[in-house]
Amino acid sequence: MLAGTHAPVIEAHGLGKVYGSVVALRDVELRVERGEFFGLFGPNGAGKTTMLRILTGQIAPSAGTAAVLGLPLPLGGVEVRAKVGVVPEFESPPSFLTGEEYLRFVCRARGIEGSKERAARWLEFFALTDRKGLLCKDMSKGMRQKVMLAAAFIHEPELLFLDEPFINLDPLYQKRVQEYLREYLEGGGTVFMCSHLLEIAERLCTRITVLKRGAVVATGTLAELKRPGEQGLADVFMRLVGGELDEGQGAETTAGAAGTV
Amino acid sequence: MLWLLRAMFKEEFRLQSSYSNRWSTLMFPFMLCTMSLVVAVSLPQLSSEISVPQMITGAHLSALLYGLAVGAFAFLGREMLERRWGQATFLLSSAQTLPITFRRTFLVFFLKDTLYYVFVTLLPVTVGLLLSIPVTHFHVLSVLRLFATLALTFLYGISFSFFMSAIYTRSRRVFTALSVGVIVLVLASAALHLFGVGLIAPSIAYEFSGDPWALLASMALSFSWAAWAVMLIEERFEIPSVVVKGQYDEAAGRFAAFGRLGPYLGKEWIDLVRSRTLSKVTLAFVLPLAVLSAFDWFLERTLSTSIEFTSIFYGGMVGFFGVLIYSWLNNIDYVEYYSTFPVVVPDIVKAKLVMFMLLTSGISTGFVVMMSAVNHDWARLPVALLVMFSTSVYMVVVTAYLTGLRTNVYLFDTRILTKFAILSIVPLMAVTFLSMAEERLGWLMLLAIAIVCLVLATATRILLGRIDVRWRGETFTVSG
Repeated sequence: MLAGTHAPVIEAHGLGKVYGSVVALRDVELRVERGEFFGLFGPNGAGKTTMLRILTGQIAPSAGTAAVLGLPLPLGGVEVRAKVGVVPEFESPPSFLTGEEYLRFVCRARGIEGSKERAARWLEFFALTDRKGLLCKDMSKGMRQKVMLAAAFIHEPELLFLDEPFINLDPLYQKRVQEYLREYLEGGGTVFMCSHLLEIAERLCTRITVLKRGAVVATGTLAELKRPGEQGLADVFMRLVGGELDEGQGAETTAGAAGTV
Repeated sequence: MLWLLRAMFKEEFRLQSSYSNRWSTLMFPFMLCTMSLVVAVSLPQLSSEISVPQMITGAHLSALLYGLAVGAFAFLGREMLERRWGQATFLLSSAQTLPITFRRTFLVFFLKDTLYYVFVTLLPVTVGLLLSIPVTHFHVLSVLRLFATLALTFLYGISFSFFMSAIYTRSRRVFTALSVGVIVLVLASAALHLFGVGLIAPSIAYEFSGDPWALLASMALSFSWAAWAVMLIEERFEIPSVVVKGQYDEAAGRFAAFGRLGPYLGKEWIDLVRSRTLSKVTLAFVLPLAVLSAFDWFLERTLSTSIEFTSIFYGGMVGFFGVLIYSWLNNIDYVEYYSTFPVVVPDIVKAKLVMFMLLTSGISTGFVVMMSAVNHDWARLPVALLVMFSTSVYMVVVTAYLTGLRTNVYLFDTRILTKFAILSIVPLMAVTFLSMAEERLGWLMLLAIAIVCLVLATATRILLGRIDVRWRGETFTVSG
């Protein structure tokens, strides 16, 4: 991992994304520093996954600019993905490879040495060693999620993008992954995470941003965002976006939006 | 059950729309109607080459094959769709979560498939024929009768396909035995003339004889196949999980010569083998070619007419059927995980193109050489091979350029399909015409074919270069 510099690891200005008539993101400002555990929260359809896809160079924004590790997006998407680790929204390793084969495939595609040892280490970490002959299509959702996490960690990237990393993991492995991420942070890594598991997020995140209908409604540390009487992130979250229960969730359309991108 | 049927109709329409868009899906029947109208108006020219009974027989055989294919896709396609979209996503899987039996959902699924495809394909074709009446002077009743008999033939095909699929889920051995039996029956009819094709598909017999017993037999058999299919289908047919030995490194090593694409080719190869797509791909490629050869043979034996298929013609056909292989390569598995890799869509498209060439070159060459041997047509073999390579590379590059990694999705888009049709039909017609015009054109034919091959090679080079530009911004994610 790189030694700390003052340049932000992730930077976005006036970021917007429109799908047809649906505004997924509008005017998002974001800055993530090296060594941060950054959490992006929001109700379903708030734009979290869209944000992650833009920042990993998978899709182009409709407005604004973004850069990751100093590389402009979406132009530098391939270079960004070469340097970072990504756990996508869905646990979807290739159906016809085994977990071990997939990890070795990841190493080869990324051009990194020692694929056998690296794969063995992560299979052991996730207790998949005795299931290494099982095809991914025949794995449980939890096992597939473990394979995707291992694939993101295996090349020891300086930045991790995690979309619901704890989903489908049993409590034992939720704890194990949390411990690893803490160590990773101590080693100089940076994490950008989207999650609905607020209890875990509260323990890990050093700074958070809450999205609602594609717009940032709050950014800061948990202490900064909490109001008197609020116990934790769940209370903050409910205050900031809880109104959606009455208003109806999800991204808005340009026709019905208060403001458009 | 009507609520489920309605829901399945909506699901089918939305599934088709998700492949392209709502507008294109709605345009598809309109396009068929137009094509049917154009063909009907051109009949006087066509009938100098092929008689009307031959055309009607061809239409029935097509409807039969279409029914068989729709029924087969209901199962083969479902397996792929579930792999791509996740389990229990489709209404056919309702039995897993709702108080309804799988047999009942299966029956409704059969009814939906039958009605839906008659409605979106056979009906528009019939409307096209009806619209041609001011020019062709067809009798309205004759057209409606043809629609009814074609629908019966389609029903016969789809029912039989569902029946065979149900057998397949029970016993592979019985399925194989029955398949062999069917092939023997077809050969007995076509080659040995032991009985007419009407005895295999009674609706064809009814078409020509008007015998009400043939009509009754066709309906009774169709309903029997469907009933047996519903009775025999297993409530669940989960694929047992298997444990395999690690083969990736070895596979990737084999493709090391391809540099950066090597790791992806290794993975593609393992996908092909483990999904058993290699055999399906080979079959999907060889079967149309075999059908083509059999069709010529059938015409020659039963109708005492023959089309002069030379090795050059087969060379062109092999190239054009190659599109099927590229489509299969894109259907083995989802590709969303590539969104985490330092690659872009054109990289994977190129890996698929390389795999296509590696897979098909041997089979294609073998087929053309075999057809040259069978027809004692060795003199034309070098030109046939040249045509084969030019057309196959051209066709697969056109397909990759137009459809990227979602061939089946984009070929349902009317705009893409139209471009594809223009880019493929024009050279196909040129090659077919030239291969059949040797007697009239002599050495000029060879010159013309060389020019066509040169044009195809140039077009291939241009389109290959444009794949990067066209697909660079595309995502690997379905919803992206």
